[in-house]
Amino acid sequence: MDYIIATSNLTKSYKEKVVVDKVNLHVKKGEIYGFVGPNGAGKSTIMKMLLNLVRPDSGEIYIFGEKMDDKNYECLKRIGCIIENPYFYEKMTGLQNLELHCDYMGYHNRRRIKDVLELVNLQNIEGKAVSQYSLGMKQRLAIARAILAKPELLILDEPINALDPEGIKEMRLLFGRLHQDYGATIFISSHILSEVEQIADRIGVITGGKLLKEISIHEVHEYQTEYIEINTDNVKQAACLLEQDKRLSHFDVVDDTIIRIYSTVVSGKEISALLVKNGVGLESIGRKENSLEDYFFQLTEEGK
Amino acid sequence: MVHLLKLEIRKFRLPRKIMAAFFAVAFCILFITVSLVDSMTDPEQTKDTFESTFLLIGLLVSFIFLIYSSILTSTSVINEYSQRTITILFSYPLNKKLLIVIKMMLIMAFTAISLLFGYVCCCGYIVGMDYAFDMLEGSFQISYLSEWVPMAVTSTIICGVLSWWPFVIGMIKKSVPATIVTSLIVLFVRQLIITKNPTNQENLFQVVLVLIVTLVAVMIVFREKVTKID
Repeated sequence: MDYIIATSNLTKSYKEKVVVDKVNLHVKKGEIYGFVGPNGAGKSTIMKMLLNLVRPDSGEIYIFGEKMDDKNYECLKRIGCIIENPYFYEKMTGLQNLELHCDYMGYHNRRRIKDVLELVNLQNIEGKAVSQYSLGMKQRLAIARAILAKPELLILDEPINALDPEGIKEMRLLFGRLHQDYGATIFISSHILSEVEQIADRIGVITGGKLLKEISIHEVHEYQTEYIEINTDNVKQAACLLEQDKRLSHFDVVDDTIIRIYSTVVSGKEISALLVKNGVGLESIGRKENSLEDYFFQLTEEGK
Repeated sequence: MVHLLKLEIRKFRLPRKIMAAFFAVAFCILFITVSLVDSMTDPEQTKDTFESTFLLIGLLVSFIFLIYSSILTSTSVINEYSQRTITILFSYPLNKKLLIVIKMMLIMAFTAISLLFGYVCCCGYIVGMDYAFDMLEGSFQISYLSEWVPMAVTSTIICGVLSWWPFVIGMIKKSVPATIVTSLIVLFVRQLIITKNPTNQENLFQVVLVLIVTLVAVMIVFREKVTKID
């Protein structure tokens, strides 16, 4: 398999606390890989290790098929990144920051600076000192910097943080375009699961430093089944009625008040009629859908 | 490496730094002028000698430029860590340690050149002023240079080496105030040591000792601190 990023048993501890625990990541060439997990799950640490910013305690990292270590920094020419917050030389202008980036990267196409500023909607303010930028503007400038040298691999740590909904949509479209036009591989972490769901080809779910699962978004969509959720004051009796009267077995008792029915042969109307007829109190009933969020929570619960 | 050096020089904003060095030298000259005028006009004071004025120049320029070098270390190196721009720098395809070495060498070279320039300007100034206004006791002899030049060179070397100490402590603490305060402590300790020497200057043993201790400290910091940005 042609992996752009592969890690083997990647482990990192800080003061005896394991923050990354034997992680085996696999990012294929040309895909958008969504890296999801709660705060402190180890996402940023892994991203820093991929960029050689943090040294792993054990395990190996392969980028573009080559083993990453302190001496092998040439592959960083092929990577664009945003790590943690959008850091810049605040006294310099946006344009000067991007020029400096070109110099360090050994990228000499200065006309591209104007193009990327247009792509992220920052044209006409590039002469302003970065200290005068809002957080959203800095985030856009960071994205411009990351894509400036047309990298083959983009490592983006929470790139849509601080963007307004319109900005998030623009960036989603931009990442899709970069992926389509340049065939860039994008490794992106985000808390906004619905956004990751819309752009990622595959996702990796991490919690407590452990990578729980790598799964394609198609598989996630298969999981996204519809169900009827009922909220009742007598879960036991309701469950008995569903089993005995409607011969249903494909349902879950979620907690003391909620039952989820995955069968498509009965309607909500029939179920509510059954429960009311038998004197079971019904708070609410409705058709719902499992989302990536539900899938994520299920996985993280299993991982605990 | 040459490419990296050019980039760092550009980022260093050399014209501004040179301008600041000129101001620092001008301040030294002003200070010396006030001191000389005071000793000339106050009938109770005896005139300063060339020797004592040269010692004053040495103290002034090393004081000013060591502090200035610690400010440069703060803005060019320590700030990169405290403001986290180092995460961007270290994600570029370059040797991280070499990058910091180049930054520090640049600061050290700038400090040394500024210090020498300060010596030349201030010494030239007192010689010129004495020639014009007879401000000092006795007259300038070429033979003074045989004493002044080695002292100025030794002082420049020592200050160049000592300019690494604010970096060492600044890297350990990753703090700008710690960097600048270190330069003041270094100056104080140096002054304590050299005033005990009859020449008011470090002897060869002290120069070598300072060089070795600084080298060891810098190597430890490079091994343990420079590439760590957790």
